[in-house]
Amino acid sequence: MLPALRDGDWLVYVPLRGPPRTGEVVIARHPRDEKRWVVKRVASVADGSVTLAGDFPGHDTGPIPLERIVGRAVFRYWPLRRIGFL
Amino acid sequence: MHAIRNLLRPARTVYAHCDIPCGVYDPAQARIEAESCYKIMEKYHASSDEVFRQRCILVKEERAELTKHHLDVLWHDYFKPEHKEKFPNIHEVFWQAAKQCSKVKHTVDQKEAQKLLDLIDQVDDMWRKSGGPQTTRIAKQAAALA
Repeated sequence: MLPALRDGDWLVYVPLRGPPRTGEVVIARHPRDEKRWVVKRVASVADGSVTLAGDFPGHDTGPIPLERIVGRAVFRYWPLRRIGFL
Repeated sequence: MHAIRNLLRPARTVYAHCDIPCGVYDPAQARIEAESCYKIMEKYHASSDEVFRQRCILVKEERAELTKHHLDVLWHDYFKPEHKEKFPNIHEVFWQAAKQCSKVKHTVDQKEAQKLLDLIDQVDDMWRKSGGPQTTRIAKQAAALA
């Protein structure tokens, strides 16, 4: 997710209220690994599915079901020098 | 500061990368593992050594799981929504192939392994028709020089 997010950033996320919007950063359960959560940007929203992509080319997940989205990443609180809303 | 940091430490780690984005995809990976399953079944039937036969079962199950993994990577990472328009049965083929991997795991019937190979060939056909060989593989030196 470079340049928006860096390895080791600490984030706050909130549960989704309604479908995510294109361009938002969301937390989702990995398409193939239930225990692994990923943070990605919403590339497109279709009927019941969401396509997620990283900001760095090639890091796409392809379409995943909407129910796999856990929440919306809203705020970075660490490191302090990069604190702020996403 | 250290105590505050510990207090604020997130409850869970999330990842920004799903896979290493090398961009190299080829159904040949899945086919080789599935061929192993087929050949191992052949050796299983030809042997009367119980220890060898048990090893055959173990290796076959590993290879079938690897086949499923390689198919999953192709399905989720290589193929994109636009391919669904070009190949309307793409999800059905992958779904059947994944199911067939499970079947191959719990049988020593070579016909089931052959069915899996045939399904992988269908995946391979879609990969070729979508330009996979040109966009995801590095040309061999001999081919590049020809």
